[in-house]
Formats: sequence, structure tokens, C-alpha cells
Amino acid sequence: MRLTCPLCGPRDVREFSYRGDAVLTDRPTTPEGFHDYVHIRENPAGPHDELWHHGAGCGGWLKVRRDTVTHEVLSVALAREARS
Amino acid sequence: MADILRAQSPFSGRLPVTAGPFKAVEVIPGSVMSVAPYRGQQAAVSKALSHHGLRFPDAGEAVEAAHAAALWTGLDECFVISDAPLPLNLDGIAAVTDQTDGWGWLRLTGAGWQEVMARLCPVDPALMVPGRALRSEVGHMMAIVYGVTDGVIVCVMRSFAGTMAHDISVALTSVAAQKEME
Amino acid sequence: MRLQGFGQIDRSSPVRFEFDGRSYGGFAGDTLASALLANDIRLIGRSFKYHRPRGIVTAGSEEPNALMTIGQGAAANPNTRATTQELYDGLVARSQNAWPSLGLDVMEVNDLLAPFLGAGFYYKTFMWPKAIWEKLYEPVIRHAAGLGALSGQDDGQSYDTGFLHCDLLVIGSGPAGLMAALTGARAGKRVILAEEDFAFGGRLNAEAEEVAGQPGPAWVASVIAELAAAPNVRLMRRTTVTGAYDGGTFGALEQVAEHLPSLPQGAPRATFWRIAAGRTVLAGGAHERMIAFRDNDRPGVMQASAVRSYLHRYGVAPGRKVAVFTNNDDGWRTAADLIAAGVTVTAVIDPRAHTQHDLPCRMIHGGVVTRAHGRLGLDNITVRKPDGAEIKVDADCLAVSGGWNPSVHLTCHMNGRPDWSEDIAAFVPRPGAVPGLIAAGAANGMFSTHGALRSGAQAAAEALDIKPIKVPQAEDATFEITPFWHVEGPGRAFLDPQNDVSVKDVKAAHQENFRSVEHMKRYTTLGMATDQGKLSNVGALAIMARLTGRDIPEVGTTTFRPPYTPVPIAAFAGRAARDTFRPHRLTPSDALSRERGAEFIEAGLWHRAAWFPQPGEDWLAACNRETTMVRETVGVADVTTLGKIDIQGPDAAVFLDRVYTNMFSTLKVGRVRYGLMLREDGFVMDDGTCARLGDQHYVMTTTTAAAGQVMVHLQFCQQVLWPELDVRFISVTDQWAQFAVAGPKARDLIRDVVAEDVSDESFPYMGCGAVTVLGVPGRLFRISFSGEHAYEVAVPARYGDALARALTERAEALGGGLYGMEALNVLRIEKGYITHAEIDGRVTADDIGMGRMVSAKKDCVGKVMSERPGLHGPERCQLVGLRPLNPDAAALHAGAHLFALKAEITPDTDQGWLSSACYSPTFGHRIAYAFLKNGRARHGETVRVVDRTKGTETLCDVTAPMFYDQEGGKLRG
Repeated sequence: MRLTCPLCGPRDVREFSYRGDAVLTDRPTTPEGFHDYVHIRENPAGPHDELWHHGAGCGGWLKVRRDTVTHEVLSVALAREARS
Repeated sequence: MADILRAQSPFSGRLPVTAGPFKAVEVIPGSVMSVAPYRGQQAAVSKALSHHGLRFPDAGEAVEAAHAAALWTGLDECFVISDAPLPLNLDGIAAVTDQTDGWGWLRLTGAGWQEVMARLCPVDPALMVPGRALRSEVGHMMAIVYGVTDGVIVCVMRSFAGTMAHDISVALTSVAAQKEME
Repeated sequence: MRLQGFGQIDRSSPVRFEFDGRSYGGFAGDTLASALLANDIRLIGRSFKYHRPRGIVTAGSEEPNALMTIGQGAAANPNTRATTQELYDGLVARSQNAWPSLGLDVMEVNDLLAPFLGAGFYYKTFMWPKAIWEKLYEPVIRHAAGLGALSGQDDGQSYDTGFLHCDLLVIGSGPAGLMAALTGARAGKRVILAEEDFAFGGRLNAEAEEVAGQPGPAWVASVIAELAAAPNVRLMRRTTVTGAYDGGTFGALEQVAEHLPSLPQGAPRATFWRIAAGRTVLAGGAHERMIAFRDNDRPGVMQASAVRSYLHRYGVAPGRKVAVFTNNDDGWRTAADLIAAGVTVTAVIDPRAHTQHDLPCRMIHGGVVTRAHGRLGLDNITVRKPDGAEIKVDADCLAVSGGWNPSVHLTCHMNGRPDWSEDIAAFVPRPGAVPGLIAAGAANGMFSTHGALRSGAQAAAEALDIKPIKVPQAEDATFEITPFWHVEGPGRAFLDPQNDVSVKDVKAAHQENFRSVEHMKRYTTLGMATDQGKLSNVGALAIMARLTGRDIPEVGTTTFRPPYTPVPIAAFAGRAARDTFRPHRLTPSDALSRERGAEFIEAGLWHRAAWFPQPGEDWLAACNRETTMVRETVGVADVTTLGKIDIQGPDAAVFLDRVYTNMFSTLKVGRVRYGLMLREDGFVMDDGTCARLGDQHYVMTTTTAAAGQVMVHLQFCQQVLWPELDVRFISVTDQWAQFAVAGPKARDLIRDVVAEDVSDESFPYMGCGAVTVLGVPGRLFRISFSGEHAYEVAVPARYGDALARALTERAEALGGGLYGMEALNVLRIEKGYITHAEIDGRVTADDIGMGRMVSAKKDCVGKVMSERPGLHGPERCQLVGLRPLNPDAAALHAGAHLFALKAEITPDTDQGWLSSACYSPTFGHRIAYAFLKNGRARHGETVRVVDRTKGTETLCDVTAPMFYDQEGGKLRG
């Protein structure tokens, strides 16, 4: 698998690590939201927004839209620029 | 207080290594400073660096001047390497950290050095050309790779220098032996 | 039998080789298989289960039978296909799975027992009792049924891995592959041409065909010469593309030295490549399939195409009297080529009633072969004619063609399923099954040479969006086949010779209702051997289809997975083997520690000195001495390995307030504070000190173990959670060599190396600042991990070795010296400092007695979740100290569990666990830390420490989690 880092270009997956669902970008501002934030995840068959870290590269956190069925990578952006 | 502490370079006693056309030698920059511009300050940093013929590099870029270079090393960060410490005058516009002792630098040369890098680094050696600086892993170690006219400079954190010297030695010996077989 | 005037072997380079202890001759350019056949060796192995005599079936990597062990000693290579092993002078090959010898294999008794040994036999018969299965049946069966074995020793050889990049990867170098590579090369694209064979050309080397008016091999040579001269082309022989992965990534095994008598100095035996390809053309050809009939596994029964390969490529006739059994035109071509070469063809048997073929030999249209005869090698065959009469036909070789299966395997590696093509009665790749990959030539069901040339050029042009190049002239016959799979009758008709699976086994699977292909595969083990069913898969599907009254596409195929052919595990590992399995990180004091005879311990990638034994000392004696030394005089330890992160920026203080549970914005410049970090789920992530060097400048210290994790976490917080905060950070772990100097005489030592005043006024406990260390600009932190008056002194790493020596020398002059990780651990346990033995991911700040460190005045990562009711109260296991009632008790080990005095020992009565334990030379007995249910309320109680792994039980008093200097006077004094 390869990911195209917005800063480094196309790279082998070994340079990255996977963090999970990109809902982590939306940290709640009130205590009530934290249960869902920490524990509740969708598990879609299809396009999915997720976070990857380019640890062996630029150190950037990436928001990756990936089809979980085909593994096709639909888009990659720096997480700090792609916050909803 | 009579002692003057004796300095030791990261690859001291471990390089150079040679085989066939290949040679890996240690490079010891006089000064390496990490420069990380604060929010919105990249232009100001570039302006300050222009006194040394440099500017803040774009992603993947190496900006070179006569006695210094600014190597892109990651998100919002570059290394300014120079023969001697430079007055950078970046107070308040960038985080500056001395990295002179933090990294070991080696220069790999010899016709076909790309074959050696192909054993060590997942990035296409065709991208390792002058004017480019990239982050990747080399032999399972986080590295900075920087193209020069006759080869490539590989930089890893100092504590990895022993493994780096070993890995580059094995790789260039192996490629040289395979060239012999052809 | 070798034929004059045929083949591309080098007759001027004769070589000698050994097979099962006897010496034979061959030529450079032979495979082991072709040389054996040239020497009339037909019996080359025994089958996996029944130990039936077996011979060479193919001339390629799909070979099921001819598996040999090549070489001797530690580096011997088992299960090597003789059909792909290049011959070299001095090659030593051994047959496998026969004892005592090939001709006389005592295990052949299994063949007589075959009626009882069918599919599912093991599962049904040896089920009970379980203990006997593990101790008796399984080892015996494993010995009896098996392939070659590794030596079990380090082969002493190196392997490599690497990465390649190209615009176009071409897999296979037959007519389609060569045209694809030429198309890409002439357009200036970066092309990799990978060929599993040692010769480029594919079947052009194995047929009597012309391309562009030249003999096939000559045309191949001209194309290869053009490609070799192009700087944008990488030609890779002996390289098998073994797997297709996401994003245009392919795995490929390059055999570097299996064709050489010995490994050249420094060279790897094999290289496993990861290829990143923009586009790919799969031109891996096709495999000819067999027809099942009784005893069709006798040595001498071969693929018709393999017979042509041996004839045209190696100048070998695999028999003197050859019969052909075919359901398509390809078998007829074999007969014609043999006749032209002067080899006797005793009959061509074709189940089709009529064909256009007319050869000067006996032709039996509408006939089938019902049985092969001859125990150790084929003597003759029984043929049933259309009128039902059975006759015997002499044959020492039977060339069989049941049609061709395109090599679709790689197109299935990403879960793609192939499509059934009625025209060629075979599966073909489904377009788009692997994104960016286009199949061409025989791999796509295009069996004529001209069709392959054309389709290769077209595929590359389409893949790269360029114009196809001109296609040379070549044979362009149509392919005609009438599917025919199996000759009904008594006895065993083999489908998968490598796993000894016959038509009967498939019928048994059907009978027992294992009718889905995946179930049938697992019940019969069909296609599960090293050849992955290349020869057998489709035949078995056809039989299952007939039994269940379905079409073959309805039955479907099993899943093809990587690797396409076996890959040595060592090749996947490459250089990451033995002591370079992973990188080593060495400390600045590494050389000094080795000079002092230190034993080392790995902490993550770091190699840290564990203890420094003096003559006659074991580890415990050394550890005790070093601990006492620190308590009484002064010790020096390398703490460079702790993560050091330089943090700067206008929002540095705010940022730290959010990642630590406690406040750092209130920390004064020149002071250090202990900090705790939580994960967002409220559990402790890491701890450490953080020093404020300037208003907007901090240096954070992490544990050695969690340095990488904390760095990634900080990046996450800054980039993902709070990108609005203006803060920057970078690791300075390797920039600074840092040493702990601890003990009552620590200040004496520090005063001797630091230029500045280090009195309590200038450097109080938890003070820090820039200093000059023996003339070098450094940093001094008055912090302690031992409970003693202590410092950490740092200098730029280039001076690390020198400072380690200077500090050690001075410490020794004061009666102290170096101490290692073992003593460091004892010191911190005595004092009550935690490590990741305590904060193991399951504990909260409250559990370790630091609940009050979670500031109520601000938010931080993990704060909300740490306040969940379930994470507080008497049900939680809380950190306590343990002291054995009997001071001589020897048995306290981390991992033991705690129980109340009279409780039964069950999981339900478990009250906690031991996290750290050691012998304390300071107190003269063992001490430990444990997590005990409601522990803080139980100080003074006695508990049982039960260690089921060591079979011990110890009574301990529960204490506060700190044994040494509870008032802290030593730290401050």
C-alpha cells in the first residue's frame, strides 16, 4: 500500500502508522461528548476518514479518506488543514 | 578544572567504508540548527535567512549557499547547516535548536550509488538529487537524505551511527559483489 | 536421451553433478531436470502421502513432483524444483521423502493402505485420545508424510531486501512481455522486466517458432540487447514477482546465487524486492493442465508442452517411445515436433472424434487413456478406443495436454476472482482486478504467438497511454479445445500429485457435503502444497462441477494468495537478521561501559549498561555493591536514553498545561517539575520531569520506553487537536549526553566539574540551568531518581564519552563509580519512584496515588475520562509497598498475584498483582510494589503473594509505596 503525503509525495506504507477514525479531530468541549469521542466508532464498508501519522517522514498527521473495501486511497491532507 | 573534554564525531572509528566503486565517509558539519518558524512567520524567517544566502525551503527542498544550506526536514521545520555557527537572528519568529551533536552525517559516492540506496531506503533514488532533501527511513532508521552532485548524504540520529555504518557497509559490499558477478 | 542439433544448452561447457550419490554429466544451460532426463533418470521422488514413485511432470515453476534438496550442510536448500534449478558444476542434489532409497522406499506400504488413507483420514482416525494424537500419531505422520527439511542451523549466508520504482513493471518475458517492455522502453518510460527463469524469452525458447523471420531465441536475443542498452530499463532474470499488493506495490524474489557453486563474498543469496510500479503488464504465461486417468502419476507422464520444452530448449527427448494424450491442438504439436526430431511417437490419443491433424504415426481419435503401467517408470498405457476395445500402447513417456490455464494468480491477490472463458475452457484474469495491472498474452488467454506479441504491445500502450509499436510477424493459429477432464474408471486418478489428491478424494468431499470449493480444498488438501495447485486446481473444480451439476464458473475457484512460488523467510527478513535484527542505539558511555566489562540490557532499541561486575561478582553482587555505593558515596549512570524534547513558542506553557495533568505555566524559569501525562481514555501514558529554561522554552523528559510514543502524541495534540497553538518541538535526545550523578557525595563531584556555584541557593532541589562543564557549555538539573542528593548533567553529545570518563574517574576518587540499570532500578524501588512496570497502561493517576496531580483548574488530555466513577474508589487496585514477614524470604517476583490471608486462590478472589520487586541491600530483605484492591486503606495488613508460575507463596505486610527516606531530607540536603 502507498500513501501520497501532501508534503513528501508518494511513499510506501511502512513509513506511516495508523491511528484510526478521524473523529479524533473533533475533541469535545464538554464532558458529555467524551464517551462517544473515545469509544464509539463507525465501521463502514466503503469510504472512511481516518488518521495516519507520517512518522518516518515529515512527522505530519494526515487525514486520509480510504475505501475500506478496495483499499483505494481517495484523498490525503494534512490533518491540521482538513479539520471540519 | 584542567580537563578540556575531547570531542568525538558520531561515526568516529566506523567510517569510511569502501567496496568496489562505493565509498561512505563521515561528513562533520560545523553547525546544525533546527529552525521551526512560528505560525505565519515563514516569510519573516526566509527574510532573516537571506542574509546568509538562504531562505526557508519548500517541502522536500534543499536551499544551498556557499557555506551553508537550509534542508527541509519536516512539517514547519528545516535544518540550517553551515561550516561555522551563523548568527541567525530568529528570536521571536522561530524555534531554534542546536542539533549539531544530535545527528551523524555520511556521504555515499561511487557510480551506481543509487543501487546501494535501493537496498536501504524505500524512496526512489532518482529523487535524491541536488536541491532535494527528504525524510524517510534508511535501514529502519529515521533519516534525512540530501542529494549532492556525486552522490547522497544520509543523516541519522547520533545513537544510530553504529547501525548506520554497519548497514551501509553491508549494502555497499553486497552491491559491489553483485556488480562483480555480472 | 540427448538429441543432437537441438536445444540452447552450451555443449562446449560440460558440467558434472551428483544426484542421490551418483555422478552424472550435463551442460551449462541445463536445468537439473533436463540433465536428469538427458541421463534417462525418470524416477526422481516419492509422493507426499502414499510414497508413490514420481517423475518430472513440467519444465517450469509449476512442478509438483521434482522437489530436491540442493547442496549440503547448513545452507542446503530443500524443496527446490529441479525444473527451475540451473545446473552448475559440482551441484549435489538429493531426492526427498524416500527412505532408505528412491527405488526401495519402505513407506511405499502407505500406497497399499491407500483405501484407508483418503482425504479426511487423519481427522477421522486419529482423533482420540487427544494425548496420543500429540505425542504419537502426529510426529509419526509428520515424519512419514513430508517434504525436505531445513538443516536447522544458521546457514551463515546473507539475504537482502530492497525497493524499486518504475513507470511500467512487466511480469514475464515471453512474446507478450518482451513487446510490452519494448513499448515502454521506446517511449522513454522507466521499465522493469522481471523473469522468473534464468533465460528471457518464455515459450519462445521452447518452441520451433519464428518471429520476424528469425528463430524465436534469436529474436529474443535481439530484443534483450535493445532493452539492455536502454538506460531506462532494468532487466531482472531469476526474479519471480510473488505478490500483488495495494497501490501498485509488488513483491519480487530475485535469486542471486542459487545457480552458483558457492556464494560470492559479500553477496546475498537472494534479494526480496518491494516494487512500486506506476502500471503493470502481467505476461506470466499459462500452465498446461493434465487429464486425470488411472495411475496418471507414473514417472514418464508429463505435460505435452514440457516435452517440447525439453526437446527445443535442452535438446532432450524425455522418452524413446512417446505417446500423446490430448484434447486440444497443442498435444498434436508435440507429436509433430517429436517426429520431426526423429523420436518415435507410438500413438496420439485424442478424445475428440475428429480433428484436422494427420501425422505419420498411429492416431486414435475418439479414444482415451484409461491407465498407465509401470511401477518405477512408465512402460505402456491402456487405451480405450471409440468402439470400447482396450489396447496396450508402448510408451516410456506420455505427453498429456488437457488445455491451458492462464496464470491468473497475481490478479487474484487483491481478492479478485477470475472470469471463465468458454473459448479456451479456462479462467482468465478479470480486468481491473488489480488496479493498474493489465494482463497480456497467454496470461490473458491469448495463446498464439502473434496474438501474444500484439496483446503485449497493446497492454503496455494502454497502461502508459502511449502508441503501440509495430508487431513482428509470427504464428497466429487459433486455439481449439473440447474440455475433457477425467477418464472414468477404477483406481486412483491423480489431480494434485504434490498432495496426493485423487478424483476419489474430491468425490469423498462431495459425498461428505464439502461441496463449496473452499471446503473441498480444505477437506482434500488439494492445491495446498507448495505448488499452490497450479496444475490441479481447475481439474478438481471441473470434477466438483460435474458432481454437483453446476458449471465451472458457478463452482468458482479457491483464493490464490501470495506468494506465487515459495519465498525463503530469510529473504523477507533481508539484513534484519541475527544481531542486526533491529537497529541498535548506543549511549555516549557505550565504549567506556564495554571497557569496564558491563553486561547490557536492551531498553527499546537502546543498549544500556545493566551492571559492572568486578572480579568474582555475579549480577546480584554487582547490583548490591552499586546500590550501596550510591547510598553511601556517589554513583554515575548514563541517562541519555531518556527522551528529551525541546519545546518552544509563545503557547508552549499553555500547550504543556493541556498535555500534562498538572500545571506548567506556573513553573518558574530555572526550575524543574515532575509531570504526569494521560491518554484521552484517562489512563496514565507516561511520566517525567520538565524543565523551564526560558519564558517560552521548556525541555520535557520522557521515559526511555515511551519517548517515541510521547513525541507522536505531542505531534497529534499540536497538529490535530490544537493547531491554533503556536508551539514547536523537536527531539534533542541525541544532542545531549546526560549523566545522573547521585549520592551523598554528588555535590562534591559536581562542584569539581561545573564552573558555576552549585550551592542549595543557586541550585536547590528541582533547580536547573545552563552551566559550563569542564570548559564546555552544558546543562545541570538537580533531580533525583534514587532518593539521594543528585544531579543530571548534560553536555553536547560529542563530549559524552569524555565526560563519562571524567565523571567516573572523579566518582572513583570519591569511593564511588559507575552504576547500571539493575542498581538504578533497586534505588528507585527503595525510594518509591514508578516506571512503566507500574504505569503499564491499565492504571490511573489515582491508582498510583497521584490523583491530586490532575489539576482541577484546567482541562488536559484524559482529564474528563479519568473522572469516571468506576476509576475511583475501593474497587480499584492501588499502589502499595510490600515487605515480606520473613526477611529471608526469597520469592517475590513481578507478576505474582495478591490474595487475602484465608481466601481460596481463584480468579474471583484475586486482589491485585506485583509490579516490581527486588532485593534491597539497604534494608537487607526483599521489597516490592503491588497494586492491591483498596490498597491505600490497607497499610499494615498482611496479604498472601502467590506466584503460580514459580510455585511459591509469601506472606507480606502492606506498606506505603516508599521505603527509603520518606521525609525527603536526603533529596534536599
